[in-house]
Amino acid sequence: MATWRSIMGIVLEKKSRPQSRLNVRLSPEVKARIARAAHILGQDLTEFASITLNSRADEVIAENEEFALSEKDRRAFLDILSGDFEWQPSEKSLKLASEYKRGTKKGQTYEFAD
Amino acid sequence: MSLLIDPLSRIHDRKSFSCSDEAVDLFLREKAMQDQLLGLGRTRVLFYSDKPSEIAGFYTLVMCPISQDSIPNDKPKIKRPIPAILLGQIGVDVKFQSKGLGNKLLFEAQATVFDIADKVGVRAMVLDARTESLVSWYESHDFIKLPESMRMVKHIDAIKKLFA
Repeated sequence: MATWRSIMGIVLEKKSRPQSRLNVRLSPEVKARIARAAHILGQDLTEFASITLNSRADEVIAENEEFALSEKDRRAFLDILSGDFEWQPSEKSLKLASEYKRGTKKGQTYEFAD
Repeated sequence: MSLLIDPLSRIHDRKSFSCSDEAVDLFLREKAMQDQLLGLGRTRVLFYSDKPSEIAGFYTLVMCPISQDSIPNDKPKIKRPIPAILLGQIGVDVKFQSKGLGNKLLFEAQATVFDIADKVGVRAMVLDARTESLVSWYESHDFIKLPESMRMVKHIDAIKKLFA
């Protein structure tokens, strides 16, 4: 996902002069092509490479995680998990709970009471 | 005649199952047994004792660690993935719908999650709701929808409370 945040991340990092280097050997043709694309977007090669690689990295990570979350969803998720809630089961859940307790479990088998 | 839930096995007729969601039927038919054998997921099947081969409903649970490092500039960083269990699939056969069997299935799934959490440590049960009406249904079971997707979450403490 080429998210707004991931792009902003790069901009912020650039201001604070990132320290890590990435050296890549390319054929002259590929490099020229990349430079042309960067020029079209008004970016220098470093900007173009870091923004493009970072957003592609986001995509790959998202595709490979079963439960990838957007920024907003992830914050909501962490809020839910932070556990500052007094969990109050719904009427329905309570009813199902008492029904469940009347059933029996033998090994892997669960048998409902009614 | 009693209503039972058992791990999926060869005695259950996976081919005849139909819950009106093609993708869910396809999963049961093609993937559930394979995932079970490979240890990728566990499927439990709901059936009546007079006809144990006929699947009235089923659900599948999968381990689903939720990574915390995919978003840049996040502070404080949570270094480890959060252990969660995904309700990967759930369905009730059309022949058995409108009898509250879905409620029973989802509740038994939470009992299973409760057992697992007792042994390995689990922070939440998560799922992807497939339709808006299913969102309301899961909400009636105290799952909370995330704002930008159909993903839903229930804290393990909320599940523990049901079995205390």
